Amino acid sequence: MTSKIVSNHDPVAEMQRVQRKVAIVGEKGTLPSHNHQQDDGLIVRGVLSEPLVQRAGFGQTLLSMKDRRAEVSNPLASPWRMVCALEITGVDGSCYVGTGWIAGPRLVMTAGHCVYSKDSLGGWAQSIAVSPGRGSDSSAPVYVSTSFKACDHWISREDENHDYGAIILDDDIGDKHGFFSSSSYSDAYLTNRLLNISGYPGSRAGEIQMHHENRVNSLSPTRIYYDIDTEGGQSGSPIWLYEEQGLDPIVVGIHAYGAGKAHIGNSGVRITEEVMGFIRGCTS
Amino acid sequence: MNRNIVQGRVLDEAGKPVAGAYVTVQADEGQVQDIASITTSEGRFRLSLPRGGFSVFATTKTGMHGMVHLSEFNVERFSPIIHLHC
Repeated sequence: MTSKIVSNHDPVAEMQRVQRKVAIVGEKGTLPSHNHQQDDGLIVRGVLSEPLVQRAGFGQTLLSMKDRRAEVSNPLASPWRMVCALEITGVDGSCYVGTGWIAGPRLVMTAGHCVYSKDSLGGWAQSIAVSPGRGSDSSAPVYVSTSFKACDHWISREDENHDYGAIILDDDIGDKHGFFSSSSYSDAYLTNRLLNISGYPGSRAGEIQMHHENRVNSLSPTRIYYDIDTEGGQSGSPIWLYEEQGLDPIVVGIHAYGAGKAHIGNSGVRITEEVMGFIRGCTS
Repeated sequence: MNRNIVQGRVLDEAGKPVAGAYVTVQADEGQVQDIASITTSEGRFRLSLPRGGFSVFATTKTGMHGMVHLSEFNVERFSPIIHLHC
C-alpha cells in the first residue's frame, strides 16, 4: 500500500510508544481482491511535529472555509468500503445524514447522536439505512436497521464525552466488506500521530465519501481534537491511523463535533477501554 | 446540556418549499454535532443547537444553495428561512 506521508520515525515518539492494551482485530472481507487496499493516495501515516496544514484564523467545521477534503474515487475499495453512509429517520419521520464504520460482522459504530437524540430524533432513531462504500452511482448495497445501542451516559445526559452508539444489522456485512480494527492508545502514542477521517457530508447529499487528514491536535481522556475538515453528515466517521509497518487501518476515535473558533479543533470521542468494552458487548 | 431546537424552512426563488435539501451548520464560536438534516416535503428541517451564533447552509442535488446566519439576537433565530438560488 502506498501512503501520502511515510512515517518520519520520530525517535522520541518511538521510545514513548506504548502498545495498545486492548484491540479488536478487523477483517479484510471477501469482496474481490482487486478492490482491496486502494488508498487513492489519500491515506496518511506516521507522526509529524508540525501539522500538515495550519489552522485557519477562524475556526469552522470546514476549518479554513475552503474545503480541503478530497473525494474518494473508489469507495468500494478497502478501507473506504468499511465507511458507511447513514440515512437516519427519527420518531416523527424527520431525516438526517450521518456516517458509520463497520466494526464487526453485524456491527456499525457511529456517533451517539446518530442513534439517540431527544431533540433531533425524538429519542431512539426509528430506522437507519446503512450503505457501506456508497457512491453517487447508487451501486452500494443498503441495509436497514431498527436495532440500536448507546451507553448510559449518552442516553441519560447526552454527555459529549460519551457520544458513541451502535447500529446492529441482521446481515453479516463484515464478512463481505470487512471491518475495521479498533484500539485504545496512550497519550504518548497518539501525540502528533497522523489521522485519517472519511465520511459522507450532507453538502454532497450523503452520497460522496470525502477524506481529509492531519495530525492529532490535542487529547483529553475521552476526546481527540484535530484540524481536519468535516461537515454536517460526517458525525460517526471513523478516525483511524496505521501502526509503524502496519497495513491495517485501526480506528482510534469516532468523529462527532465541528468546532467554532472558541474551540481547539473539530473533535471526536476517543476509543478508550470503555468504548472497547461497548464494542465487544455489541459483538458478543 | 443547554440546547435549543431550531425549526426552519428551505424555500426556492419563487418562495416554494424545497423538499430533500441538505441542511448543515457551522458554529461561530462553540461546537455543533456534525449531522445534516434533510428537509421534508414542506421544506422543513429541525436541528438541536447549543447557544451561540451559527451559519446554516442548505444545498440540493441540483446545485441550488443558500445560507442564513443566526446570532443570539436574530428574531428569526429559532425559525430561520433559507432561500435557495443557483
